[in-house]
This record gives sequence, structure tokens and C-alpha cells, in this order.
Amino acid sequence: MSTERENFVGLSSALLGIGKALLAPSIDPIDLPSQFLAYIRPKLTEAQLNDLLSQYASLVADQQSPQQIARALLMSNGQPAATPAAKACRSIMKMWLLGVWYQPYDASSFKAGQQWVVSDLAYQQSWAWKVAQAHPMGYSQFHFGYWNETPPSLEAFTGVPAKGQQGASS
Amino acid sequence: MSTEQADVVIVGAGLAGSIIAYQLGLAGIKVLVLESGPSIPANRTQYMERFYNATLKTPESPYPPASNLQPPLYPQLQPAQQNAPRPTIADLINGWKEPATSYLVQKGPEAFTSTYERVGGGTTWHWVATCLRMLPNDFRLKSLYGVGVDWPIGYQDLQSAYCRAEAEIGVAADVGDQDYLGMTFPEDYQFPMHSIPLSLVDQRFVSALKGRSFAGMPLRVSPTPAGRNSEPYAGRRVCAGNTNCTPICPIQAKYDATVTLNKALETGNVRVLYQTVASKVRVDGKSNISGIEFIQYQLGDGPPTANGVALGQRYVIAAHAIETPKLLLNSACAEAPKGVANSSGQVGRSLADHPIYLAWGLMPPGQKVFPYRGPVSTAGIESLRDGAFRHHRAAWRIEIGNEGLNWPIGDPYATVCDLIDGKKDSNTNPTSLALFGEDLIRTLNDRLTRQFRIAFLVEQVEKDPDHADCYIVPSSEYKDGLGIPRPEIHYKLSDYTKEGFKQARQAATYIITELLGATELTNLKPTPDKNPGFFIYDDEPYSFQGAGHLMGTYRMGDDRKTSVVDNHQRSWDHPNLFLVGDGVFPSSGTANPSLTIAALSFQAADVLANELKAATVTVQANRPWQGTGVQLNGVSPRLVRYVGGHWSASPAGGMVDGRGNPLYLAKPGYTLPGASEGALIGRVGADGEPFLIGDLAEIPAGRQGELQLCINDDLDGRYGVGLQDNQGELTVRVEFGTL
Amino acid sequence: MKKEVYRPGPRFGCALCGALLSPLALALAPPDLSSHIPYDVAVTAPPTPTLESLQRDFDVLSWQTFIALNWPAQADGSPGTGPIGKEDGPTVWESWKESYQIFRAKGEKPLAWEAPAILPKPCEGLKSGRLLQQMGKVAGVLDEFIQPFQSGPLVDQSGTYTRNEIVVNRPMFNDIVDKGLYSVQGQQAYFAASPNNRVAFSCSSNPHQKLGAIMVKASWKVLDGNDQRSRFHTVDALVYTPGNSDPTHGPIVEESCKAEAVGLVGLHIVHKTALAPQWVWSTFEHVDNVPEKTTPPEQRKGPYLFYNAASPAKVNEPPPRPWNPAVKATPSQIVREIPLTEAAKALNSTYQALLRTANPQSVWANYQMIDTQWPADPAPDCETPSPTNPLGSPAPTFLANATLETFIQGTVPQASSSCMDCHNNATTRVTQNPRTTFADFTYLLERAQSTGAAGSKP
Repeated sequence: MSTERENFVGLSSALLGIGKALLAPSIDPIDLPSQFLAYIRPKLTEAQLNDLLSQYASLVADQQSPQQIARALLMSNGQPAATPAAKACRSIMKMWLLGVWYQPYDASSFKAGQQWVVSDLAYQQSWAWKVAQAHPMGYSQFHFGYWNETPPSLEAFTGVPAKGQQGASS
Repeated sequence: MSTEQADVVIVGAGLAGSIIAYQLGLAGIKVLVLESGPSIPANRTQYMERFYNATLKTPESPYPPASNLQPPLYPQLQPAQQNAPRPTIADLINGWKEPATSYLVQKGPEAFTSTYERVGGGTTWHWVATCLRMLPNDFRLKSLYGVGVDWPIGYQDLQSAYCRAEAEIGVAADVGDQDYLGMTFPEDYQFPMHSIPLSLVDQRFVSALKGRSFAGMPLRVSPTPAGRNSEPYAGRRVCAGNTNCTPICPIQAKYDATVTLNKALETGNVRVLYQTVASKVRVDGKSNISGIEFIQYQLGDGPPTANGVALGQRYVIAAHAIETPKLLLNSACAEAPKGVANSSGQVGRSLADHPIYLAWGLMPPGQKVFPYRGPVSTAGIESLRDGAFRHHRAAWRIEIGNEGLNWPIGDPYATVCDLIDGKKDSNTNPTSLALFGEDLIRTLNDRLTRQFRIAFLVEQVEKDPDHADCYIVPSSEYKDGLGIPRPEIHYKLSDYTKEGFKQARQAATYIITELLGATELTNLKPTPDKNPGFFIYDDEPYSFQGAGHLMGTYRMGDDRKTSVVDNHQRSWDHPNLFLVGDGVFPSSGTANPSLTIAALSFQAADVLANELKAATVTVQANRPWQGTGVQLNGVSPRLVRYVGGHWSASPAGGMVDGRGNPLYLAKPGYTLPGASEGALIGRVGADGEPFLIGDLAEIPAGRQGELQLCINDDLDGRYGVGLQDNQGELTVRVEFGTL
Repeated sequence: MKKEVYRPGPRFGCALCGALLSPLALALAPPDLSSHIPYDVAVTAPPTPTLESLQRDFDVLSWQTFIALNWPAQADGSPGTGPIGKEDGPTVWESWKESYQIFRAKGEKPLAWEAPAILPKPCEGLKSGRLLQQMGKVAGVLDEFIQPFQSGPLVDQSGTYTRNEIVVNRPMFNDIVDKGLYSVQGQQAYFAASPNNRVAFSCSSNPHQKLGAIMVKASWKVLDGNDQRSRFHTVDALVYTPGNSDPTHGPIVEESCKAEAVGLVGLHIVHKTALAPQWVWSTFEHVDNVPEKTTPPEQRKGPYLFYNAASPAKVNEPPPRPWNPAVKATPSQIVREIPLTEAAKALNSTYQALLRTANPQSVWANYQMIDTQWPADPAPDCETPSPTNPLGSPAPTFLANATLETFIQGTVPQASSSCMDCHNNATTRVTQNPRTTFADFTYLLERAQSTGAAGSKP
């Protein structure tokens, strides 16, 4: 029986296509998943969060692939679904990619459309920049002159090959 | 009311104020700086934390006072409640014509879209660090092209000052890349650091533009000289490509004026009073400045806590091109009814930005250029900055951006949201795909890695420079938290400038679609509701962005009737007042102004140092080495200048000036063998190596000690009677400055 | 290499009761007083270590290394009989090569490892002592610029600046000398010789029983009448201030040299190992240095070396400029921003008790480990930085020594002290491209000077 954190990581991984081991390494000094869970609980409401994670857990139990799970949660007739769960999922995706929380619906004092940076570390670790084979603006670990050279591949950064094959060169 | 005193009082601890404070402090002059904003912090953590947590990451986002897009929630942050407010991008978004939320009271018809900071270190906290020199022809717009105003000085007048500015800031560039369009450098000149490597975005432009031209002029990509460390320099780290120059470099690899201000403090002769707002300049009955009143506060939105007046022998106002005229005009009094320094009526007039035409796109599929890497900009297209076209339309330079579509559309945020939500606001998702999983990652990668933007910095020239359409006056209605009238801005771009925009749009589309083969995403039909900077020209709508450059509002000239300061940046009206910064620019050219601000500041500092500390001495012909009493620190550049008198080293040589008699060359045993007999020779310290002065020379750098002078003659009487038959004396001045 | 292992008295001796009965201590092998420098971290919970278990393993590595490096040394620098702390005296690491002896004014080749240090002129003729010249993070003539943001000097309660020094062990010294990295021209030649040449110091390795690169940075306080000398590891030092008249190079100061007794207040130990190619960053402080920020002011029992409960001064602010060490300055008012973890405190108690078994008055029991930073996602080898995660996910994310990163403590990415984040920005003097730029986490290579050879830029 998976923990809440495990379900959240699994859900995030399915939605984003980025491996669980990358989103939540086993030795993790920052531990974004726990931070994110604590952050979104009041913003989604406890009930909606539990509901979402239960839905995810059921889909896993039904042996659905990550692709199928994501589609089931996000889409409806090929269009983005308008359910609270779907909206929450899209906000979760943006949170991982940008470090910003886009409030998906009204919940207590939070209004749909509001946005906040989750934390400085969430920004530092956000994934959109790795998807760009770069780094967040304001946080570079690279060395002088790196911009003159081709970066490591998308697969090296995210585990997702660029052209749908392993070992794609860009 | 307290009184503060110093030899020189400076208003503003930004780039200009810091350089002048530093140079004067080195010269042993006591300086007091009044800075309206908070002090240089012990570290960058607060500024960086603000940056990380800002959803709107504008140039101002790290710095106080905080800006926000929900004014009703933050009444205490509004300009009327703040003690040192300044314009922000949020002001423009909230409503540029709304004085309740906009610091600048904008009367239009067009919006002024640039911003600045009011903190210790000034706007250099958030500049990109582009350090271009102005072109020689930029100084002569009127003579050459019949538009604008000529400067009273030229490029060569600034040559050594540019070099000093480049050393102080720490500029990374190679001379071989920079000697275009008439720019020259001293022989064997090397920039302090080697050039910064081009980005992959730049390289794409280099290959696409090879051999191409626009409007008959070659399109050439040049690396941009930058105040950014490409090597360890002056104790700062090397650039790690954080791609965050604007708004803040996390590791201070980019120069900011706190570097110079801290050096000023190290001299032990400079004091800075922070959170000290200059409120009024006093003028006495003899047209001298007699003090600068100030108000102090502790909290940004709190009450004033003290007030006082700062007294000095000389006054320098270095508060940038909106705050400086605001202060001068707010100080109108019986002795200066049109405002301090304003007999010409030109204070506050000819407010100029480099309004920017922004163009952007996506490289063709498969052609990744990997933006979001490296400094925000590493190269530009500089080859179109000058030419005969300037008779008819504004010139521009093109800055190539490395930060993808961050500026034009707020990426990666916009594209991420579009691809997840199935929208197309970003224009990078034309078919409104709604994606997830690996498809999302691959598509996002495809979109982000092909992004680029270019910015055309357009020269802004008034149609009638003596009756400017762009100007700042103090608002008669709106004040800040201290009760000081805020700037009221009138802004209208001339057709000359707008024609420059039209050509920029054509060049952009040509470069993007034809030369790069890319998809142009520039919004060619902008609307005023989404774009505060907006005008219609030739029936086409244009939007413009601010470059963060404010210039022109107290211009220098050679005629007191049409200019505010002379070529020394001294007020025509008040001999003990200097106005510095890019408010002195009579025309702006297309170069980012900071390097020129820095160069001019070195020159103003020399003038001030000479007024207070130049020494005039006499040197006797018939005595050996004579001390001048002038102690050299080996750091400030110094000159020795012949003023008058004649002397002789020998009856045969006759009475000569400092150059001596070239027919007779000094022999071994003379003061300086090989130089003309009777020439003026100097040395630093009793065991310093003698050097030739002649009539005018720079004292060799790096030598500390007392300056000593002597005639070039047979000191030991080896060949005859030596000095005994010498006659006369020279009068000589020991000054600050370079040749 | 001679090594001594000191074992405490019978395990159940009452002196050790408290330490050994703590749950953590019972679960693990007892720590040793040993002069053996561990080659690498000993991972105690394979195959599934956790963040916490690894942190403890690295912390143990830190303490064992601290003990071995501070072991009393013989004249040739090798460890003596000890045990550590029985008497205070010169330590093993104090025999290592000082940075100013490696990076010389005209890029000259350093003297041999055994050669004595060359003293600056003003220090000649004074009674012999250890040369100290750096002033905290003040931009000095030769160095200390390279620390971030020229943050400021640390000033003790008597108004005197603390002084720092950096030494490297013999393997690291050899790496520098053998590759010619001690001069600008040497670095240029090294990178030009092969497109594969990069700076990569040698790793210590357990399988190969080989010691790699270790660098040590120490901060010292001048001992005066207010200090209880017996609480410090003390050294007779020559406190040297290089002269400078150009503010571009730092504060304007006259050259001077003074013989003073100094006490150790801070110690960085940085060790490159096969399991941590981004190095292991251990840091220690004197227990009397500063209170923690989280301790309420009225509970901050002193006396502290860098904090005065009665002072109204704003905390963690550098003194006003000019920063001239010859002039008495405002004492620094410092607090520790990030408190020690409970695990760190417990381990400190264990080791301090252990040190006291050799001598109840051991000066070394007055030192504490602040924390250890290590890469949670280490580079695959000792030669090349990880391409997509050069830092290797530092654990913990932030770390600061209150005497060495005094004014940049905190938890803001890039702006607050993190050993690896900051040291990753270190470069060589040959910044052409990433390969030639990367200095393997040490700022020392920026100190290389030019020989003045033709064609080179100074």
C-alpha cells in the first residue's frame, strides 16, 4: 500500500513523463515531493487532494500505464477535462515544470487564476529549464563558456529521448 | 535641522556618483554622498530571495520598494505612501496613466516605459552590463545629418576616459572586434579581459548573416563588450552564465556600482548617508549653491525621521535623468525662478530613452539554438548604427538575446501553460495542442530550444531639440510619501524616431524570415491595451519597450542659452554645481549609455579634483631636485602641466620653457640623459626613476611618494659649472587627469 | 605512514557511560582516536542507505579526519605518538604547504615539499612562527577577493581582525606542481598540451588504499588578555599584512608583521574521494564562537568570541569600511543562522567525550563539527564534472562556518553559503571554455601569477 508521497510522485511522473527516480531520488536533500504535498494540500483542499490521489491509486491498481493514467485524469474526449481533478493535475504539472502554483479553482481564500512561486528551491529545481537543456534563469551550475557549446541531450537531462528513440543525439 | 559638511556633496550613489566619490576620495577630498534609497546590503540574499519569489520577474523585482500587480491589496506600497518610490514595469501594467499607482505621472501622449532604481549602487544592480562606446559620429548629429544636437566634445575627447571606465568596470572585449564605424583605441590597447564567447544563438546569426546586408549596409554580428568577468578580476567571480544579468547577477560576476562605492569607502574620505532624500537645492545671492536640504526616513512607508542640510564647497547631482531635473525644478526660488541651473529652460527637456522594437521567432524545425544559456546577451548587430540614412530616420543597434522568448512573451511560463492547457496565447502552440507525458516534454523541448529574440535600440531624436516634446516637470498635484512633487512626464516620439521603427520592423522581418529562414512571431498588430508603449505610424501600429535608458534632460553644450552644463558638466548658472550622468547627453546615439556615463564621470571628477587639489609650484633652474609637496598615491592619474616662465640650463641653450632646447641633448650625468637639455624632468620620491615632463606629461602610474621636479642639466658639474649659471624658473601645475 | 590508534579505556568505564548509551552510539562501532586519515566515507547501511544514514557516515568521516589532521606531528609532519590533545602542539595539517608558498609573486615554481616557508621581509627577524596573512573575506593583495561578495572581516571582541590561511596536502601539492598549474603560463601550457587535459585533483580511494587531495582552511583569532588560552589550540604566528595602496586590490593598508599567539576558531577540511568526487566539505568551529539565531537572546549564555549579549549592534553585519586591520574595529556581532542538527550535536558530544579520554582538558574537545556537505548524486568519476548536475545535489543544501562565511549565512540559493555551489564557480586563469575554466572546486588556481613571459597577459 503506497504512501501519500509515493502516490503523489507516481502521479506527477505519469503526468509529466519524467521518471520517478528523477523527480524523487532515493537520496534527496531537497525533497520537493514533501514540500509540494504540504503546499498544495490547503490549495486543493484536503478532500480534493485525497480524491485525486485515490483516483491515481485505483488506476495503478488497474494496471494502467502512466500514459493511460495521465489521459484518464487529464482529458475528456481529446480535450482538457474541466473536472477539479483534471485542473489540479494541470496545476501540479506546472508546479513541477515552473516552480509556480497556478490556483486551479476557488478553494477557501484562494481564487482561481492566482499564482505564486512555491519557494526559491522549487524555482531552482523546476523542470521546464531542464527540458530546454538549460537551467533556471538565475541558477546556473555550469562553467564559463558553456553557452558556446551544445548542451547534453534532452535524454541526459530528463530521461526522455528527443525523437522518441533512446539515444537520440539531441 | 542637522548640518552635514564635506568638501564635495554628491546626490546619488549610483554609477556616476560612485565613480566621482571614489576618484575624489583617492585625491584626499572629503566627500558626502546622499542616497535616497537603502544601503548596500551585507549580501545579496534579500534581493535574490525577492527575485526567486516574484511571479513577475521584472528588472525591479529584487529591489525595494516591492512592486505588485494588485495595488488595492498593498496601499502602503503606492507611490504616494513611499519615501523613495520609482517607476516600475508593474506601474505600466497597472495603468500607466493612473497616478494612484504609477510613480511617474504620465501625461503622454505616449508612455515612457523605462525604469530605474533608487538604492545604494543604483540602476547598475539591474543593467545587462553592455559596455559599448558611442560612435564618433554620434557626437555630431547636427553637423553631419542636420538633426538633433551636437555634443561640445567628441569621441577622442573621451578616449582616455573610456579606457579608465573600462578598467574600473572591468570590460571583457577584444579590440579587433570593436574598431568599427570610426571607433579607435590607443595603440596596443587591451581591454581588461578577453571577450566573452558567443552563444549558439549568436552563431546561428553569424552564419545566416554572412555576406548579407540591409539598406546597403553590411549585417555583421559583433561580440558585445560587457562589464562582466570573463576572467577572475578585481576579486569577483567569473560569469557562470546564469542568464539573469537583468534583474540581478547572483554571483556578482557582472559589475555593479557597489564595487566602486565600496572602493570609495575604502579611501577613508567618503561617507554615505542612506535613506536620505535630497529635497531642495539652495542658491545664494551670488548664484552659488549654498546647500542641499535633505529628509531622512527609516521605513520605506514610514514618517520622516530627520532633516538637514548638506554643505560643501562643490555640489554634484548624480541622481539620474529624471530625479535630477525633478530636484532642480523643485528647487525654484527667488534666485532661480525657473529652477536651479535652468536659465536655458532646458532642465528636464529632451527626455530620451532608447525605445526598443522587439522582434522574435522560432528557428526552423530541427534547428535548435539552445537559448536560456549564457549571459542575457553576448552579441549584437552593430554595423547599422551609422550612415547617411540618419538624415531621414533614427539609427538603431540590434541586441541579440540569449533568453529565448522570456522578454516578448514571458516564456517558459507561457508556452508551458499553453501546451498543458491546450491554448495558444504564446503563439508557439498554433494548433492548441494539450499535451502530457513524454509528448509534452518533447514538444516543450522543441519549442523552447528554437526560440530567439532581437531588440532594436532606436535612437530617440527630438523634432525640435530646443522645444522638446519629451520632458519632465514636477507634478503640481501628485507627491511621494515625503511630500516631494513626483515627476510628470510628457512623451511623444518624433516621426524621425518612428521612421526608425518602421525600418527596424522591415529589417527584423527580413533577417528573421529570409536570412534565418525562421518563423516570425513578432506581434505585427499590437494593441494599446496590451502594450503601454504604443503608437501608430504610417497607418501601422507599433509597440515599443523601454531599454531602461533615461537621457538628455540637462544637456551639455557650448552655449548657455541652449544647454544646462558646459563640456565639464558644470552648470552654466552656478559655478560650484556639477550635473553628471546621462542627463548631460545632448544626443543619445545607439550605444547603451552606461560606459559613456562612467567615462564622463571620470572627467568630471578630474575637474573637481583640480579645482580643490591642483597644486601650482615654481621650479628653480639653479637648484637640483625640488620637492613639490604633492604626495602621489600611485593610483589617481596625474598630469604635470607647464604654466609659464622660462629658464636656462646653459647660456648657449638660452631661455626655454619646459620642453628645453632640442638642439642640445642631455649627456650622462644629467638629470635625464638623452632628453633635451633644459627640459622639465620629474621623479616620484627621492629614489624614483626620472621621467620627461616637457610641457605636459602624465606621471607614470603606480609610483607612490612625493613628486619632485628638476631642470635637465649637468647636476654634478661634470662638464662645467653645472647648475650655477642657470637662470629663471618655471611655474607648473600638478593636476588630476589623463591626456 | 605511521599511524597510531588510541583506544579508550574499558568500554564500560563510567566516564564513557553517557556517550555510549545514546541510541546512535549503540548502533555503530565506537569512534577511534586515530591518526589514520580515512580514505573515503564508510557507508554503514548498504544496500539501502538513507539520507540520514549517509549524513551520519559523512559526519563520522569528518570527525575522524579532524582527529587525524590535528594529530600531534613530528618535525617532518608525520603523526607522532599522540594521543591527540594530551598536549597542545603543532598538528599534522600545519606541516602542509601554504597557498602563498605555491602561488608565488612571479609564478615561480614552488620549492620542494620539505622546504621551509619563505617569509615576507617585514617578518624576518621576528621570533619564529607560522605566517598568517589573510583577513577573512576581505579582498587582500593576493587573494580573498575570490570569496563571494567581499563580504567583510570578522572582528573579535577586542577589535582585532581574525586571520585565515589555506594549506594543501602533499597529493594535492603534487597535482599542482606536476601539471604546472602554479603559474598562468603553466596552466596555459597544460591545457594546450592536450584537448583532454582538465583540472582534476586525485581522489582518495578505499579500494586502492590511496590518499588523494585534501585542502584545509583555518581561521585564527589573536589571543589577548580576555582569552583563556587553555581553551584553544594555539600557535605562535606571524600575523602579516601585505601593503596595498590601490583600492582595486583591497583596503589601503601598510605592510606590517607582528608575532602573536593565535587560537584556532574555525577549520574547513575538504577532501576529494572516489565516492564524493565533488569533494567532502567538513567544517568545524570553536564551541565558544557564536550563539544560534534560534536561541532567544536572553538565553544566549556566553561568553562568546564573536557575540556580546550586551551589545545593541545589528547581527551579521560587516564593520563599516575602510577595512584596515591595523585599526581597531567594531567587534562583530554574529549569530549562527542555521542551527546544528540534533544528529550533529549528538555526534559532537560523542567525539568530544572521546577526546577527553586522552586528556580531560584536551583543547580539541572545545571544537565542534557544524556539518558536512557531500554530493548525494556524485559524479561518476574523478575526472569530469557531471554534465547535467555538476554539483551532484549537495546535502545539506546550505552550509556555512560562522568564522569563514560569516556574512553570507542563510538559505537563499546562490546568495547564501553552500560550499559546493560557491566553489563550483572557481576557475583557473585560462578561461577559454568550460574544459579549461573548471578548477575542480578550488579557488586556489586563480592565485596563479604570470611569469611575465612574452605573449602572455599579466
